[in-house]
Amino acid sequence: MSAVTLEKKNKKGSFLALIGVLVVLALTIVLENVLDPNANIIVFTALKKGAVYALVAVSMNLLNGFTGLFSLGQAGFMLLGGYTFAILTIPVEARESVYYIFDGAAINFSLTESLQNLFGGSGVGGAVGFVLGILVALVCAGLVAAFFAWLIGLPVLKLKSDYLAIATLGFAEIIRAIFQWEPLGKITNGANALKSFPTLNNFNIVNADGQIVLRLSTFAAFAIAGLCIWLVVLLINSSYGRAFKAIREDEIAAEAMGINLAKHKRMSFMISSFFAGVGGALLAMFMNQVQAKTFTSTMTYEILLIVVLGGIGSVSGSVIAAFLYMACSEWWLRFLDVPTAFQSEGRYWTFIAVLAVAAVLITLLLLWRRKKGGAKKLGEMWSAFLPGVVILGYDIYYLTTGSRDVPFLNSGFRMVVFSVIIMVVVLFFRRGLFGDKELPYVLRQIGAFFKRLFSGGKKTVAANANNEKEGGANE
Amino acid sequence: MQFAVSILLSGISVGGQYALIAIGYTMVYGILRLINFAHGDVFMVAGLLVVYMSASMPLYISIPLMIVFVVALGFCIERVAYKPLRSAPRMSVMISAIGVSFLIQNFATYYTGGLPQMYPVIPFLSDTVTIYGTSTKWVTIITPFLVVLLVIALTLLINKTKIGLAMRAAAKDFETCQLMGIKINSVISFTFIIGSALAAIGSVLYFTNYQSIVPLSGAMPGLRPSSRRSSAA
Repeated sequence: MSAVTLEKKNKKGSFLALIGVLVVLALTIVLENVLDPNANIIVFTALKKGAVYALVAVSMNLLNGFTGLFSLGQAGFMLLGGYTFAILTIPVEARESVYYIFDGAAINFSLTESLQNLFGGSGVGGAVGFVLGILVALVCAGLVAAFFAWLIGLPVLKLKSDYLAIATLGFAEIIRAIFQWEPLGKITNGANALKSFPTLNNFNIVNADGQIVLRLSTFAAFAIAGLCIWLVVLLINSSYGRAFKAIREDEIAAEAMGINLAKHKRMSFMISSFFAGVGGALLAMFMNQVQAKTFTSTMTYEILLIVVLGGIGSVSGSVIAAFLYMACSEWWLRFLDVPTAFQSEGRYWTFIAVLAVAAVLITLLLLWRRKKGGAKKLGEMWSAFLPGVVILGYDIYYLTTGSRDVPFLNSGFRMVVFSVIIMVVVLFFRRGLFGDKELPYVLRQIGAFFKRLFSGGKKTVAANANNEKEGGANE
Repeated sequence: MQFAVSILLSGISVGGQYALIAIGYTMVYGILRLINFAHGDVFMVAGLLVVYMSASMPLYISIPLMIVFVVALGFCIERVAYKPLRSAPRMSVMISAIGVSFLIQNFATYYTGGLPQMYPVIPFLSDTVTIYGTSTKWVTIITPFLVVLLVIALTLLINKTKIGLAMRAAAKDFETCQLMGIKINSVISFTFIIGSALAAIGSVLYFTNYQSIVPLSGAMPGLRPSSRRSSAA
């Protein structure tokens, strides 16, 4: 990781960022009202889930990427947030049916309802009360998660790297077990799901007949997640954020500079958990229900992989990676789960050709890497041929079987492809999408690259020098 | 009395099975300072391999063959996923380990269709035996003895042989070890080989007891020993 950066505040840049965010928010409203959400359900699932995961990934990045504390407790804090939100907002009449196994709930009041009543029941006042109630419940969800983070942080934050990871992972498992514990059933509904609480769909504006006038569910997810991410960005750019980065780079040096390690670590841990809790509540709203068994360590790993894909220490990287990840897993790679046959001979032969070319390319890539690594003799490079040979071998085998079904496609294959992609990123593109840079820097780099591509010798040198000036501070 | 005996027996045997997994964790951690998250999944793969191989060949071939395959798997995981990251920060290696675990679990889900697989009945090990009125499987009785035997063998290997000396040296100081001319890569590979072989044996014992295997079978027994790893090595 590069040294701590002291980026100059750029008014124009933040203004552009604001415009960009507003455009995205407006786009979500337009998109949801123009496209039919029932016909394009996958798109909106990907978008909403992407927004939720973007928030959670950013919160994890704050801890893992900016403070250098490797924590794997994210799912536990999300669970706390999701349950808190649900318990606070399930309507009073619905509680009887939700908690029917435990003969009713222990807590019998609903934040959204009481606030709605406060603002005058229905109509505009009711809507204001409803939104306010949800916001308060979201904050409560975050606060509960942050409180538990404080509690757990007391012993756990004294641990270093992998011990911290295991301890937080263990905590997440404990929380999950406790929430499924029967004696707490009157509050947590045991191992059963909590449902009937306000969801993202409740943000849609309906007229008196119950018909939807304006769909705002995707917008709501984006707005809440965006607001939280903006707060994290503000934090990272503040003096606290710089202290976090200093701790990440070198704890001893940071302490010598007068940074209170314990305080800042605790703060980072609590804030990260706060936003994880809000993210968990958003996830609950997205899924229309919350159940402890969904918040497994696999979920934490998923979030961690998003952070890695985006680049550890890059907020915009995490956000973009979250959307890419969700788009891939919910939308673009769906076809991998459905067994199909090739539609034409042309496609069949294209597939075989692509496989062969891929084998050659992979072999070349690996050979090139070995060469760069200093291998000279062929004997040291034998393993570079292995993956290519395996793929080519399979290609020939598949050709001999004469089958016209697309190979491998079956339920579950999507996740296999996915994890292979992740492994490739982890092994070969370790810095992820953005490294520890942010979007504007990457855009500038891409711009400079094209400038170099389209202009002649002299300008290239100038552009290079310019780049170095810009990049120099970051390296 | 009956209850106490049955609890005692199953406790000792499960403890022994976990110990076999934990040794794999702790040896890798001792040398590489890396929590090998994939180890639990190697254990699960060992179970699945027996399920699939025993369908087409007798057990006395499929179990030794499974141990060979699992050892090869452990070796490959180290070579492909951990070796290229030897000089990278510890967090990257750990993320790589999580990635491997993710990959193996997903592949197992894909291959098995996510359905629980039944472990074959192993003659003798699965037979029931009655002790003080409690009936249990032979595997429960055998596990502690087998584990103790294996641990003694491992201790001898680590304390008396040259490769054991190299492993101890690598655990003490990685860099100095390289300077002294120890081929660190082969030492690490050897560690993974032993760890995987023990996990393979452990899986035979474990799944004879708990017969159904799901892709997540490795995750739970995998996580538990890792919290105890610090006391060994």
